[in-house]
Amino acid sequence: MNTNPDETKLAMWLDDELNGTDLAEMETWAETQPEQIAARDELRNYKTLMSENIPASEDPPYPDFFVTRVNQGIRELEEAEQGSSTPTKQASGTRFWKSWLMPIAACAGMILAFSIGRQSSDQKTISTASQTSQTKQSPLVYTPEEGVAAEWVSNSDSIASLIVLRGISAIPDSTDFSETVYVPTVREADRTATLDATPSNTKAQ
Amino acid sequence: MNKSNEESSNSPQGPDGSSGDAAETADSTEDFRLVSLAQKGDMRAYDELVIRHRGRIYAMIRNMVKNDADAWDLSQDVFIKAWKALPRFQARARFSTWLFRISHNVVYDWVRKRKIESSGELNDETFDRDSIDLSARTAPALIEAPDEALSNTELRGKISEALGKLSPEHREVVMLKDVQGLAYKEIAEVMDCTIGTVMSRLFYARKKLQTILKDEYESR
Repeated sequence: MNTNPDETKLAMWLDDELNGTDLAEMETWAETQPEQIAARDELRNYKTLMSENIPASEDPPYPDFFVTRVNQGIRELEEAEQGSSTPTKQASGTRFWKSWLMPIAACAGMILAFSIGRQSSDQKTISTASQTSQTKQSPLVYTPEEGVAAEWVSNSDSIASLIVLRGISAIPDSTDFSETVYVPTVREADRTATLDATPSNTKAQ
Repeated sequence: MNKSNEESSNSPQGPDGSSGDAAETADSTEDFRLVSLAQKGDMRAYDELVIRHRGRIYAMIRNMVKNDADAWDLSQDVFIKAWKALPRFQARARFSTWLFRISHNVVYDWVRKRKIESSGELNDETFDRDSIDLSARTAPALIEAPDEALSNTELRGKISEALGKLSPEHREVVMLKDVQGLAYKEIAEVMDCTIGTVMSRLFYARKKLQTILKDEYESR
């Protein structure tokens, strides 16, 4: 071998990977290359050190259980694949729906919900306004006794309201209103509230 | 008993490059026979393949992840994935090389997953035993068995520590070449790179290791 070998062949020779003709050629070339011989010896020394101290193979802990676990993993894998095969076929049948119709349906649904929401909001505003107006004009006053008519009078300036009941019999002067009114005792009353047990400003017609 | 326990598969080839050739050929032939049976659904044949190769796969992964429990789980994943991929296996490479290729993917997927979970960066700490909290309940046992302790192993500890200082790629290439005894071409297949990249990584990895272990192998 007259010329120097390429890097790949040199590396393979240093690592003892060559054989046959390639090896013979390299050995001939190396006879004049003492530094390469030394490099190969050093590499062999290093590899021996490694191989003597780092095992290429070591049984995993609980080796029998290891095989059992592998078998179990394979069974679980196959069961999972069998279980998912049917849904996969079903899924392929609805692929068109999922890929095209579902996004369109979702968009249409959003638009519909938005428009319904807006209409509902407008109607609610109108309804509330009319109710307020009606309340101000003629509130419904309920009278439980037949023959009694109720009239509601409001004065917006004084922020006062008056309900006039017609047809009801006059209340005798002897009526003790305190008996018709529940007055909480001191113990029952909220201590933070102002207690006014005296019936006052009771007006009746 | 594992195939590689019976043979000294991590001893370098002899100068003529012929050491173990006959045994390797016989092993490969037996592997292919078992693979052929397993591809037809023979679980016993596949169990035999697992038993023959589990030691090398476990040792390789254990040296990569530096954690016994994770290595145990990941080794099983390798054989489960191998079973799933077995119909696609063609006898263009040795079965053991194919398993190392799956191991490579499993380990790097695991590292990637851990990186995402921890939101950290992929670095040597993921593989570094020193980064593990030794007080944690899940910390792997660092105490060696008594027979191992007797058989050394200050030197082994130094080499293991030195390996831990290499990057994952450098560590893997050293393990595949200098411990498992794969050829450059096989390592390139396992690591999915060119032979030139393998040579480059191996050169720098060995250089770093030899620097760290200079005193050790110069005294030999």
